[in-house]
Amino acid sequence: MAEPCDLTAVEARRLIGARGLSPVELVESCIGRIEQWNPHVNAVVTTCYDRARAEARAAEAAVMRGEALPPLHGLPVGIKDLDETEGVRTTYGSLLFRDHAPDRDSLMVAAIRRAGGIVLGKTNTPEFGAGGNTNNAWWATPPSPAPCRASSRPSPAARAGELMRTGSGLSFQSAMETGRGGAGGWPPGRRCSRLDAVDTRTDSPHQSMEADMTHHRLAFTGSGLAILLAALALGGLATAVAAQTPRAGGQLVHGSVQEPDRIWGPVTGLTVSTEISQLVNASLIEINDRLEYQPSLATQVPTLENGGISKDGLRYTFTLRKGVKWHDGQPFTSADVAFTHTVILNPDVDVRGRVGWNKISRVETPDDHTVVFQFSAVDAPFLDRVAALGILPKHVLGTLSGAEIKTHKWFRAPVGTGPFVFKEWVPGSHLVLVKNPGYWKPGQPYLDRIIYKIVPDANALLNQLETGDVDTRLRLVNEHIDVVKKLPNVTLVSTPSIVPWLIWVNHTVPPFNDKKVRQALAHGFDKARLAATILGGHVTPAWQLLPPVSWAYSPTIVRHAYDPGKARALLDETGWKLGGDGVRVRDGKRLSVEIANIAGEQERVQVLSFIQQQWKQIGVEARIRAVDVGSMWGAMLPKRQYEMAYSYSGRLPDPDMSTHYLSPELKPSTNFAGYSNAEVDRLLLAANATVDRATRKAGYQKAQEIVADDVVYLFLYWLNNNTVLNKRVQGYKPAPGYTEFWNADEWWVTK
Amino acid sequence: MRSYLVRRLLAIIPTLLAVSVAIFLLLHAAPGGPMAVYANNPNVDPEDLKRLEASLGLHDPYPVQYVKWLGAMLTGNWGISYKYARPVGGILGDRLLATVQLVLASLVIASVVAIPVGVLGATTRPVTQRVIGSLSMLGVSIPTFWLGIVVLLIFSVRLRVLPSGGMATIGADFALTDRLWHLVGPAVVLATLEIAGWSRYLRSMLLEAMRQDYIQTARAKGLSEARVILLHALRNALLPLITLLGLQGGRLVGGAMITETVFSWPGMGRLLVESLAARDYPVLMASFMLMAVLVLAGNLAADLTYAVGDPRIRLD
Repeated sequence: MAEPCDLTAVEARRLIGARGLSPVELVESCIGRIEQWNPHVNAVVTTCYDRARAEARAAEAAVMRGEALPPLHGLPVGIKDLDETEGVRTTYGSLLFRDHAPDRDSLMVAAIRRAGGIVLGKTNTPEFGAGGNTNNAWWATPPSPAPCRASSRPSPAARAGELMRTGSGLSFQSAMETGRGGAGGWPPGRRCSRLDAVDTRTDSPHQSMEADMTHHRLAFTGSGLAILLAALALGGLATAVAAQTPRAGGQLVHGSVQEPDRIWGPVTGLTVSTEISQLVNASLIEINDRLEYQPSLATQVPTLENGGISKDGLRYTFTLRKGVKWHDGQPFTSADVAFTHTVILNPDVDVRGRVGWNKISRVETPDDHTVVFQFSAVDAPFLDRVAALGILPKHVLGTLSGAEIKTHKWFRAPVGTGPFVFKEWVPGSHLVLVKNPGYWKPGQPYLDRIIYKIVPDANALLNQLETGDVDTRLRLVNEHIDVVKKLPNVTLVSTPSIVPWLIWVNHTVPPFNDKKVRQALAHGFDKARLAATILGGHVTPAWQLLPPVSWAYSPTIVRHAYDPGKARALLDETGWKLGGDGVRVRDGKRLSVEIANIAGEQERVQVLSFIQQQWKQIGVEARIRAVDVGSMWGAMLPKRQYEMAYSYSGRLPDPDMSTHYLSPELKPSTNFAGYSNAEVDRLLLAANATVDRATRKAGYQKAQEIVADDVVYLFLYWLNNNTVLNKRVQGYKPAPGYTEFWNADEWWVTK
Repeated sequence: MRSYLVRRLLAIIPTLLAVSVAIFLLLHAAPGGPMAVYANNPNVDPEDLKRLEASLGLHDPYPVQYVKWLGAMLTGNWGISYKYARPVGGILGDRLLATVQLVLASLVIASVVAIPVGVLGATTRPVTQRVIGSLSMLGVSIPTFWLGIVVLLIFSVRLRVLPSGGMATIGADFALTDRLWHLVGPAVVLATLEIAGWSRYLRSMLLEAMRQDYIQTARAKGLSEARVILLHALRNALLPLITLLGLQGGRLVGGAMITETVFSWPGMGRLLVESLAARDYPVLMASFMLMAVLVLAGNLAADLTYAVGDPRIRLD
């Protein structure tokens, strides 16, 4: 039977993060396993269970509060008795230190604790680390004639030892002790040392140290010193190998199920088009994998501190990089930036979205390398918009009318300033982009060519990943995750995205205009279980619009956790009584709700079926209706002709949430829920009227508290962005709020 | 014959008009519109979408929109795609050739295989006939989608004898062998369904032909069984099959949707699916009208061929 202590560390940590496993459970399971097997294998010499349990409880609380969790959060760790652990007996395997309890952790142990690891105890070691086994005066009795039971598959003992391995440079020793790399079995005929002399159940009392311990440790045996040096050398070698230098040259084939349409952000609705635009058309600034702004065509990101943004937030100054050339050799200047702005606002060009750009009253270009945007009203997310905007070449499109620009072939064969030059597009088949030899970053891009291959069937694309015909694939569907994990030539990188999946609730349709009904529906289904089971743990449960990486995220908002009893009570309060067929009734109307769902993906139906089942327990009948994208987004949601609808919501990294919560009467608004709250309006308008982060954050957090209590939307989860990379591809860094090609100029291939 | 031809050609015009009206109404009756996908875009304001729809003329009443479209079509202007902002003719031109190649290849393969299989199905021992019958039943029931994926899995991923999709090796120059190698997989998959259907059809037509009196006469004349079947019975049985072939005309445009998706074939089928989702009316109207024309032309060709082949039929 699989126990929590049998999970791999990666799996356990993932489950902890997804709230599928409690750190308390995990620690108890490990303690149980240690207690069961340690008398036979003598791997653990000192334990600190009480402290570990307390840390586990604190870790669990942190998870439930939704805090950002460090990489080893909640994972039990065994520390080899050669490393100091604060307050826990550390003997170095020597009788000399039998009662020695250090008053501080060694650097490595401190780092492990900081990363969230929970120290369970100290593991056995030869005296001062000299030797290949754990026989020492402390723990060994004269060899017993009875050998341990040998087995060909990993024994529980080996696994207990495995759990207790540390990350010290001397870990190759523990590998020898616990059976060659941890997964191997217990070699037959091996002597077991029996633990009988020392009580391992209590923490040793803290004792003050008199002398520097490392001094004593190394002085005692020459072989100890030799082994220490060997380990350090190995460690040094390992780090050198890890930080490889990028190799120039080579080709990357990227596979996509969708074909781009027009390669410029403002005129397209397709992510794939913006991705290619990112490769070819550079923008003034970029957003990196930590959601921070970085300079690109501009030499510096304008902020309030450096004066790039005026105090009132109405004036942005960008200094442009000198010496940048378009792919056709013409120089890039501020005139191009000003021109791009006029194209966006040109009524004859079918730019899809002008939100924010229409607040700019004028664009000034005092010289060839300075651009100033003067606003008539504050547009708080402006830097996000600038990061997403590729600059257009004035020398190509400048003399044309709006209608001519609209149908110009530049949008199918762009000339930009980005790291890659557009070469060819065979419609329906692939695009070819080649390295820009004049790119302003020296030595980059490393890749010679990127081929953007269009493979419309997800299964066929999976095949091509397997055969290596395709190197990279973004947004892998959840059904393929398990298959991809087994492929030997690819790696899977999963990052939580910033795009929430939610159920829209139409507040203009009774009974959804009643807050208590909405709260009851929120209490009525188990989000954590949904995430862990149906969605396989590939998602992070969501309780609000902003993701945890956002700087305005509110960890303290009220969460309507799964509580069917409370849900039933709330519904009873509002007059919805259980009818004969199990569905609640009020004034002759049944509590039956229709949830619209975009047809095509089985997983979405499964999610809704799960919710449907759970709502049945509280007397709510849910009917799932399949519609297509055009119906849902063209008619149902904008015209509020729906009861509930399940889909995702496109988001910028900026926390501006007016599209979701601002009253429909105020513009701009896509508030498809029809929610209206004067206090929220006031808070949001105030937060959007300034560029000062602290003020905005305070406003958004207050607003989020109100809307969470009001249950405006039923948030479900943030889907993970699953990227598949062939092992030869290096340099990829996920960017949850931006296109994944943001640092393609740093990508390289090993062969 | 000539008057028949003239009448048929004239009759095409009202048919096409009726078809165009029907398609137009159906397309516009579907809820949502070309701007639907942008509603979920954080940079887009509903005001922007209304403005765009107005600029595309989508707020005019339906009759006005239809007449505008018809007028443009008749003067050779097939419109500008909403999604690609390119003239529709260019978009169709890129894709049409690919689909035509694929469908023609599959028709050739299907004909070459279906005829012998059909003949065998009618003339060999009953046991073999039953085996062939079951196999063709299987062929008719297999979904193209599944077959396509399985062919890719076995021949491309495991055995590596077929390419994983597309029309040609990316980056390589044009080479006929390369193109044919890429064509084999999808053409065979597409042909499978037709082989199964046609062979069954041919078999029943052949059996019926072999019951005719002239067959007995031919045998009585001392002709070998092979000549009797292949020269006399088959020629008569093939005629209805040619009619079937003519009706396949419309498929030259949109009939390979699923196969094209599975094999990443850059053809019309995929274009249609994407345009439907995006409600790209200009592309859709032009594509469907093209299909209608091809169906009508194919029908006419089939009728004419039948009249030529069978002297008993008189067209007037």
